[in-house]
Parts: sequence; structure tokens; C-alpha cells
Amino acid sequence: MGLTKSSTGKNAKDLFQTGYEAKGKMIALVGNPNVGKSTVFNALTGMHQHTGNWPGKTVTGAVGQYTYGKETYTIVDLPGCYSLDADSPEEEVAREFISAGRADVIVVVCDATSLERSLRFAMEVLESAQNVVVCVNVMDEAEKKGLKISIPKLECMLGAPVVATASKGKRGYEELKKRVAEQTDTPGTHRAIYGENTALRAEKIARSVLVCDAKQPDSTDRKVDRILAGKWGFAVMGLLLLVVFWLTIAGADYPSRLLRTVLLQGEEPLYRMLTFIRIPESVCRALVSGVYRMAAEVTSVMLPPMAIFFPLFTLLEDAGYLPRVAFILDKCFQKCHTCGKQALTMCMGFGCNAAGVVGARIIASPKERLIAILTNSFMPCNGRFPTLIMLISLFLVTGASGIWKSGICALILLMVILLGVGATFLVSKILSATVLKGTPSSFVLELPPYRMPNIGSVLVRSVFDRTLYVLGRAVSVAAPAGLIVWLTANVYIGESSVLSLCAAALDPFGKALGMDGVILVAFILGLPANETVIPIALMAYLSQTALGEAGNAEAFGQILVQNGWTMLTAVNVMLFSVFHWPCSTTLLTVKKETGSIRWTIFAAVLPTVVGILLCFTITKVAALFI
Amino acid sequence: MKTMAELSPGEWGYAKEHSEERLMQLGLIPGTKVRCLQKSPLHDPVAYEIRGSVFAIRKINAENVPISEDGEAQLWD
Repeated sequence: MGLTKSSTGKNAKDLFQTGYEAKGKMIALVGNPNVGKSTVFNALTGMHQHTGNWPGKTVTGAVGQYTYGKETYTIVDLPGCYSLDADSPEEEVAREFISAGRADVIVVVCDATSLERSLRFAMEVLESAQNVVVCVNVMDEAEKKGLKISIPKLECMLGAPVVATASKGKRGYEELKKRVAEQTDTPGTHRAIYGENTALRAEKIARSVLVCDAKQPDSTDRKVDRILAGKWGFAVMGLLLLVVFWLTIAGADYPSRLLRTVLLQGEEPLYRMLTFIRIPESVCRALVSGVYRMAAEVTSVMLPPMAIFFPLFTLLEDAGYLPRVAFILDKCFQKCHTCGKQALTMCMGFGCNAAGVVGARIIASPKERLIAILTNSFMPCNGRFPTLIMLISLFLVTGASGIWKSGICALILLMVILLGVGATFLVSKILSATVLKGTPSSFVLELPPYRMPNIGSVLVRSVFDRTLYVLGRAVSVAAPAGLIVWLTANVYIGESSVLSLCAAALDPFGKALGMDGVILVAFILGLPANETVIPIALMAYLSQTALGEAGNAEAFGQILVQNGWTMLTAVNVMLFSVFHWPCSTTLLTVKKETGSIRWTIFAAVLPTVVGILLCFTITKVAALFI
Repeated sequence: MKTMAELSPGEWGYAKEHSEERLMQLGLIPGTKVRCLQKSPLHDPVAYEIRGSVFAIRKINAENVPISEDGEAQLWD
């Protein structure tokens, strides 16, 4: 999902625009997509850039440093590309970097398991740049498949230094550093001239350096593909999603409740501590019932589902399932005149819509890319997941219990997601028929070999890089939001509080959409982070009814029901949660990616209009029957 | 003339001169062996093996690539 601190929002480092200050020598990592550039990058720098198994994962380029000998090296992980004839925006980034001569040394990463194709790109680079080191990566997997590569021979035929590396046992990285250092000391090596067609030349070289050729290196992959992406592709995909949702819902329920009880018990001691150090009572109240409670609510609602969902999703991603999703769904996108790679950006949107918007760079056609950006928020991100799960289990699945309950919840959640997918198709089709007309561009997507994910690193990375990061962002937004809610609920103008005045003003509109004013206020205050919508609403209700004395409130549900929530309200809130303006981080990212205020406003208005239409219709139709 | 789009799963052929630039960049130059692996659930796109890698290619693009059944001669002449 490409979701890290540095890849989204205003922190998104675009080293190509901001002019990243290089320390020491500049090294660029290039290569075909999905050959393990990020793995090499991590091994050299000791950083933890996320590595996924699908082409186009690195769209922005990461920067890191390492020292070898006395010299400092700045290393840039460039997006993968198939050829130096640039096609999509991310490939152009790499080409410009190479041809502008901004790097002292270029390391071309090759995939040992598909040597020929990697070599073709390596030769293109060798022909157009100086000081190149070729790194043949994934050697361990090639050996498993029975492929042996003669490195000295390859070195001789290419006329450039070649190093074999493998992530297992950190093989070859020291030598790579050594070779890079040697290259920086020999300025201006000659560019290679291979004369004939590089594709044919690469084929010949690959044939002569492969010592032992396996008969059918990927027969298992083909069998797996026939199950995952064959006739039953849609069913398997639905089932996989259902299982992921079910595990998330079933597994998160108890920890969520436990966490909430524990955290809310902390209110009392915290309050006493604050009064003990002589902080005025009103400030204490604001801090405890406002800031702390909101942070506690958000943590307990969000942490458990994310801690389960993120690792599960990362497993699918690392195994190489995402490109298969694009393969299965492409026909539908074709019908909408958009690109199948939009499926990949939608998958990223599951994690974080801002990441999905950045990820749209893998789409070559500007028109199709814009459609993918504008519709990305139809995929409920992780901030909205917990809201959906909570409302489903509180209002829609009331009869069942235990395993049945979580199963039915997962099924309903799947339907909500499918609704989002359906809306994506519909809106994409409408957009491409009206404001964003154009002919469908060509679509070619590599289906990489399946890889056994490294369970340990998946767990560590998805918890630290994703879960804690998203949680941290949510809490840092929730805390001040809590303060604002508390203040607006406790500052009075005449008889009523500011909060109830706002809520009352929005109430007629909220009612027309099957919700109420408080919920709309919550959605508006939740702009910086969608996670906070339900907690804000909850606090608003509490502050209106039982001021301050709600620390022991047992269940969310009771409070909501007391404030007039019905099943219909829950359905409308769920729909509006899927279809409303994206969070501010996403909007900032849209602004950055499109460079246009107009499209950014459109990205906010479009889903909101869909949401308003849906909720309004449902409320009107329901009114006929009740 | 037979095109890449007409290959059934399991069949292979050798690409002739064509103008699909994107496919060329992936290594599908004239004379390259291309094998049809499998269709997607809705029959489009189709997965092909080209030079040891697997690519999903849409029908409209595959239709522009003519195929011959004997490619070796073309490749090595």
C-alpha cells in the first residue's frame, strides 16, 4: 500500500522537485519494476522502505545514506521502469534522473529469475550513462529454481562490474558497496556500445551466462494463477476479502472493548494527578474529558482492527496477489474506459486514500490517472473501517452472536466495499464519458512470480510502519478535536452551547439525509482524520446530555440509541462515511498530484454529492414504508 | 493473418513486425516467442509469457501483433 510517514500528505518527499541535498556521492538505484530495488536499498541503508510484490510499488523514490570506508553515499531508490523510452510519469522520473547525469554511480538492479529482460534494461542504461554497476539480485530464488548464472562471464560480456546479491543472508551487499566505491574513484568510464538491437543482444548474453537452465521454472505459479485468476477469480477474490474482514472483525472485538475499559479507567487518576499539581479545575476538565477521552476512544476503536487488517493485507500484497486483482478486474475498467491499474490504486486506498492518490502515478494516461485520483476515496480507508465495523455490529447484526455475528458483519462489510467498487466503476464511466473524454490507452501489467512472504517482517513492518503511523496521526488529530468539541460544548451563548447551536443549525439538513446535526458536525470536524467521526459524535451527544459524568458509559450503542439513532440512521452514516469528502491529508495529496485547486475541489465535491444523493434517496424511500 | 489475440491458452507463436510500442519496450520485438498462458475470468485481458516474464495484455493490443508459427528462422537470419 506504499503507506509510510514520508509517502503521504505534506511530508511526501518529492526529491525531484525539492532538490534533495545530497551528502557525499550520489548513487541511483534503477531497474525493471519488482526486481527488488527497495530490498537492496534497505540492505544498503539499513532503512525500512516497504517492499511489496507488485510492479509500481515505489512511485516517489526514497532517499537514504550509508557510509563505506570514509566516504558518505546518498542513495536514491528510483521507481522501476521497463525501458528508458519513458511512458508513465513514474518511469519518466527514473529516465530523467539517469540522463541528467545526477548520479555519480548508477546501480542497475537485475532479477536473476528473469535475467534476459533485466539485462536488456541494464544494457540500455549502460549505453546511456557512465559509471554503472550491475547488481544481479534475487540470486537465492534463482538457485531454488535451478538457475545458475556465471557472474564473471556476464561481467566480461557486459563490460561493466557485476555483483550477485540475495536478501537471504545479506549476500553480496558488502561487495556491492566496494564496487560502487571503486566506480566513484574512476570518473568517466566509457559508455558501452552494443551495436545491434539490445533485445537480441540481451537474449544472447542471457543464454550464454545461464549455466543451467531449469525446464519449467514457474509451473507452480501457473497452477496457482489458474485458481486465483482463472474462471473462479471473482469468487476467490470475494472469499479472500471476506476471510480478511471476518478475521479482522472477530479478532478485534474483544481487544477493542478491553482497551476502551482500561483506557477510560485512566481518566480518574489522570484527573486527580492534574488537580494535585494545581492546574485549574476547568482546564483539567478540558484536558481529561476532552483531549484524553477522545484520544482513548480513537485508540480503542482503531488499534485492534488495524493491527489485524494491515498484516493480513500486507501478506496478500507481498505474496503477489494485487496484480492478479488488476488482471481479474481489468475488463470492467476497460468498459469504463479506464486503466486496469486503477485496481491497484484502489487496493492502496484500502490502506490510506492519500497513498492511493500518490500510487495513481503508475497509470500512464493523464486522463485515466485523474479518474483514479478522483474516485479513490470511494474505497473506505482504514480510518473508516472501524466506523463501518462498529455500526454494522451495533445496528445491523443484532440477533446473532459469536462466530455468526462476526461472519454476518464481514459479509455486510464486503457488500459496503462492493458498493464502493460499483460506485467507482459508475463514476469512472460517467467521468470518462463527459469531462474526461478520451480513448482507452494500452494496458500492460506484469504478473510477477508469487513469493513466500516473510511472516516476521510482515508483522513487524505492518505494525510499526503502518498501524502505529496511522494511529499516531489519528490520535494527534483526535486530541485537539476533542478539545474543540469539549470547548464548543461548554462555551455558552445565552442558554445553549456553541455545539448545540451548530448542531441545531445543521439539524434540518442532517434529518433530510437520515442523520442529524450532530453527525454532520462530527463529519466536518473529522475532516483531518476520518477515524474521529464517531468518537466526536459520541462526545457531542454525551456533552449535551450528561455533562462530564459519562466516564462509565458502557456501550456506544446505548448512547447512540438514546440520541435517536435507528438502523436507518446507522445505514446512512455508513454510506455517508464511504461517500463524503476525503480527509485533509488526501485532499492535500490530490492538490499536489494534480497541481490544480479546481480538481482538488472536485475531488471533495464528487463523493459528497454521491453520498448526499444516496442518503437522501434512502431516507425518502424508507419514509414511504415507515 | 493470425494475431496474438487468437492464441489459445497453451499455444505459442513468434511475433512479427508490429507497432505496439509498449509491448516492444517489454521485449516483444519481431521474432520473440510468445506463449498464451491463461485468460482472465472475463476473457480479457489475457496472460502471456514473454521472455520469461508474465504480462497481462488487453485484447485490443494483442490484436495488433501478428504471429507466425515458425519463428526460429526469422530470429537467427
